[in-house]
Amino acid sequence: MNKYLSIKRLTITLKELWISNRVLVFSFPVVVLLCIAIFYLWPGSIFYEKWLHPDTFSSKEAWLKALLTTHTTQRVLILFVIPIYLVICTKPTLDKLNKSERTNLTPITRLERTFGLTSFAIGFTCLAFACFILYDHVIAAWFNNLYYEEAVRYLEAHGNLYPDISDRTALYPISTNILGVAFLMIMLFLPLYFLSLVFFRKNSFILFLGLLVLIIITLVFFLRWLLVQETSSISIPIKGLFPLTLNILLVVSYWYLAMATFYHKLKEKEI
Amino acid sequence: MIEIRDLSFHYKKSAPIFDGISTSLLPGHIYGLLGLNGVGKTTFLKLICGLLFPKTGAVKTNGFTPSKREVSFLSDVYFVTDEVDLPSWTISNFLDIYAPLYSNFDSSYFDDILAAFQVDRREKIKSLSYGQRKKVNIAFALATNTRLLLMDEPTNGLDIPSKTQFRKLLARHVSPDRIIIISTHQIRDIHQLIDHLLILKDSKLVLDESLYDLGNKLKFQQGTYADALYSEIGLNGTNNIRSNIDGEASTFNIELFFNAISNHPDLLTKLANPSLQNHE
Repeated sequence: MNKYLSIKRLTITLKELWISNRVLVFSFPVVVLLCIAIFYLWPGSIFYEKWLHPDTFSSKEAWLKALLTTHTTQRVLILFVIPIYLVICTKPTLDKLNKSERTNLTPITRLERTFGLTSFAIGFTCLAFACFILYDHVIAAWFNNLYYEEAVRYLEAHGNLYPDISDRTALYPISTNILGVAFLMIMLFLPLYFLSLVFFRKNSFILFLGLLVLIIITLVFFLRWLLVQETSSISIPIKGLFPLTLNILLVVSYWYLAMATFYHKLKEKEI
Repeated sequence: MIEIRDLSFHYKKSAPIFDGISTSLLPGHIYGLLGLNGVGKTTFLKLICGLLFPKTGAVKTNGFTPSKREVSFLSDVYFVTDEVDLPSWTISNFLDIYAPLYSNFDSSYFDDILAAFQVDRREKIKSLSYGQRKKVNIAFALATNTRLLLMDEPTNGLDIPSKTQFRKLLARHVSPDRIIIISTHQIRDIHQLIDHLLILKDSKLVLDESLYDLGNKLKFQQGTYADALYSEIGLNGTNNIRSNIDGEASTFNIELFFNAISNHPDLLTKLANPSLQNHE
């Protein structure tokens, strides 16, 4: 059996996480569906008015105008449920790694613990995204079925013979770009969260939130300062392989450094 | 085998817990680790299994450096802690997940112990009482068949029949290749099991001796004796510790002996005196 990484022990680490969190994992689709329902039926939203107070819209045209001009991309914020779930699922395990004699004497290497936690978190995030995307597409298809024809007729009636409906309306699912940014944000949050929870022995979650706020404030101030310092009058937009590679390298380096520190902190932990 | 050389440890520099402790603990024995509250008994066990790292000195357990926490080392060690820290799953789930990590795990033995402790395997751990959770942990610990078994207050929370069961199980568990170290204040629960005493006091291991050797030096008698090394008035009269100069066999009273050492540290000096060892 490998001294540092064995499939058997890695599977046991994943099983540990699965058994402890399966109820939570199964509850995720329900919670997301609930969040979507709350989003669309929030008092004041067009669907709330349309379905619960049909008199709000004086005519069909008024409703279609509202449908075509209201942007609903804010529903991407529902994806913030994912980091909340990740915290709820992984915090007990991270707390045990910080404090539990039994957990730290279980014959599982720190590398397997690191891989297990990371795989679980990434796996859950991917499944959660898949679930959200599925709901989003089904709801967009349903709205299309209900209102698309009417919307096109409305636009044609107003002289728009080549209807161009914004992809930010409820008739379209969230774009891949927006989903990509949300996924990247969650992935950036993950190693910092893991690291904070093993780095700080007491009040680790509060300190992690404090650290997160501090990093965000520092970044905002730094970017503002950078923009103020920007005096050049010619800007050359560079697109292509180099900036993309640079970005990927930065993210990968951050990930590697944070996870390596997490692993070494686990190894050094005294209980 | 556990080799401890010049072990020093502290949580705060100003308050050392251990200062230059050295000893060798051999397989085939049940060691009783005694000491007053806060003297560092649990810390001692944690240093042996690698939960804490020595500040100076070295600990070698079964040929491994515990602080490295290698898998081969961890799969041969089990620590029964005072606080039972088991997941909230069913006992069966707990077994399915963790038993494969111990190469010598004996599932049927685990079931036998649970049956002896009258705990149902189908129960959820979170629905069990503290004592029942402790029984599950002890059953798991014994079924792992690890060569090093550390126990911190193992009888805390056990009911009276379970304490008897525990003694029987542990007596059967000892073998020439296993080391069992039990730290406890409930010495009466296990005094028939222990064959070697370790006593911690003032950052030192002040006593590291087998009960056989101690029994050769000391005898325990009731009555009034002018030459008693230590006397204590009990419900049945005065209990005495005397020099065993005539080689008389007596039941070793660990509790009385520990009280004697706590109240009269000079007894340790007397124990080291060769005149007490004439029976050897």
